[in-house]
Amino acid sequence: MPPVVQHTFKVVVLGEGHAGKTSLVVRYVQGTFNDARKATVQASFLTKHLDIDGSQVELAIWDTAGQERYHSLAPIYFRDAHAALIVFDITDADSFTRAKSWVKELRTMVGPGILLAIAANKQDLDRDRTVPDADSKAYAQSIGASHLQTSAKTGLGLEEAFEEMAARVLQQHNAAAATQQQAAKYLPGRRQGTMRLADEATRPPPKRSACC
Amino acid sequence: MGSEGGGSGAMNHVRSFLKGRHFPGTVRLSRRDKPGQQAFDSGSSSPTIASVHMRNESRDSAAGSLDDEGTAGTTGLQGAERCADGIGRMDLNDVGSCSPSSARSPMTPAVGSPFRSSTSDLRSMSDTRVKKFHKLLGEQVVDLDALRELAWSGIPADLRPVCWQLLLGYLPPNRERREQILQRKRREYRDMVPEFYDIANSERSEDELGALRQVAVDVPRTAPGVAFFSRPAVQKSLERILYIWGIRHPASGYVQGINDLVTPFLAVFLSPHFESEGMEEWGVDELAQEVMTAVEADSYWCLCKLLDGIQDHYTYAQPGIQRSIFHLKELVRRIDEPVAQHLDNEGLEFLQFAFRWVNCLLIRELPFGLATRLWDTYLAEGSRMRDFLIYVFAAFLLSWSAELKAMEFQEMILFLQKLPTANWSEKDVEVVLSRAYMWRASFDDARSHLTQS
Repeated sequence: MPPVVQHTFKVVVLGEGHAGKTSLVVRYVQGTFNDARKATVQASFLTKHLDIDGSQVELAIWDTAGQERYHSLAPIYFRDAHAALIVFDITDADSFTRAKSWVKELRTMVGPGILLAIAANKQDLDRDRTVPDADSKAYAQSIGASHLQTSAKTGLGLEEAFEEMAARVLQQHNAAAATQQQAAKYLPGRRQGTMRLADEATRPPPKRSACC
Repeated sequence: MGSEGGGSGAMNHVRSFLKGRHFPGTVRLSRRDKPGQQAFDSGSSSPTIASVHMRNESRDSAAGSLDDEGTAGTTGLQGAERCADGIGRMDLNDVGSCSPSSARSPMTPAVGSPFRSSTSDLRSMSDTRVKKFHKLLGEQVVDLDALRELAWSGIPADLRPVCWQLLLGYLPPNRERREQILQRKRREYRDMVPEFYDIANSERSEDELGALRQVAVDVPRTAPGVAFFSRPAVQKSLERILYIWGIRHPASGYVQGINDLVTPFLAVFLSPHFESEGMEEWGVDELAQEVMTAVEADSYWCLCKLLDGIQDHYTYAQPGIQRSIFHLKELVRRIDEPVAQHLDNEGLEFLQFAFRWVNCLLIRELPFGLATRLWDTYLAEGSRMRDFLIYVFAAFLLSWSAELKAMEFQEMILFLQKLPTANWSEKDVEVVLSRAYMWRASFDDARSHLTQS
């Protein structure tokens, strides 16, 4: 029996096409890496169970499609997300630019409530690097996001990226719960063998202010 | 019913694939000896299903043709077969397309390849059915309506290249003009390669560089499960086709997923050039350059024709896909209200699973070899493909109606993004297509759900 999930947090993964979003998520969730994956069309959904200092957390991860053309789909995935992992490819400066525009869009569309993390991906390709870590770190700091050096190929930084994110969301969540009685209804208990995503099962979706 | 355009023949085929299937809501199946009396219970398997009754009694011509005669499991081409007797054979060379490089008989059955007829596929291997194809294709001017009707239920693998090219309007129906047109189109494409593709990056615009980059990252990710598409020669062809298509269609440009849509063309148009049954064994690298170039050109033009009717699937914000999904949702609600309600209750949006279906025309949801069978029917639908697809998606989704109703959000989305089709055969695809056909027939009178937008 898996431990009872106390919290489900929704994480959206965004970034330029071919930045390695799917590889990163699949490596993290399933522990496998495959160079030749199909380009993501629409978005894929994966879950990962975490134990954060005794709290049982489930991450509901939406891995989105990166090509510009699919931009119009993104809001259905990020609009009620607790956190966003924005991935760029350190060998591709354009993908870093795109990461910045994602941040702007999230700030505009979702507001300050969504937690951000920047993943400087493909660290295994260091010799082809065109984006220095110092640059992306400075940028992450300027927007209050965490910064992680990751490689889907080697597995570098993935656990840290998601665990750090989950811990921050949990912290915010607990702080909000302490002050807002109302927050209690966003802590659904897990039923035998099945579970509900708090955000998905509640219509209309809860306001972000409830936990942030 | 006149608008059905020869649908009764196709309806005959429907009957062959109904056995043991559940058609919620609209279609009643019954034993032949008691037409129209027994409702077909979901999940049960009826030993013989000899007739199908559309619930809408006014569609008597369609229903009538189903009631006529025939036995489940046969080709359902009774009349057609009779008049096809004794028709002469046709040489593929005469048709002017993709001449086989080997002496392999066009009708040699080969098991195990998705691009060759399977001996177990009684219907497509039926001699009379094959003869019917040969008769049609042997005419001086091919009767495209008749070809559409016949092709709808599947094309013999050896005749796919020419049939697809005719159905798409790439080859003219008049055989006298075919060779000339083919030469011209292949030359046109050959000229586009140096004009658009083989140029220095410094001569490309910013957008063009972006497009080239996008295509270059997607080509190696095309059909990764099919080793054939990782061959350098095939990847190069793919790259040229996709890049040139994007440049020549600036309203949309290249969009991810279009790469998937070329794969059936390349595979089918190359198939006559190899002896081997399995694609893995195709020695593409040893193929004569001119053959590869011709196949590439044909694939390019056929991709153009296919996408002509659905270009707004790929323009900014992809309105065509949004509209299709809107209609799909409406249609599912009409056909299977409990499922629609369940998805709604669970907060699952159609966009979250059906976007990819529409964007890649279901290619990604099925084993690669089955795409060709799907294409037979899509291309036979011609200008009606766009609307028909919505019925296909509905039929595809509702293949798992019972399963879905028992799932909650997470389980459902995980299920829908990796549907259990790995062991599907052509027959399963045909069940989906047949249900789609029947639903369209029964909703044809009330098409407002497809025309309002």
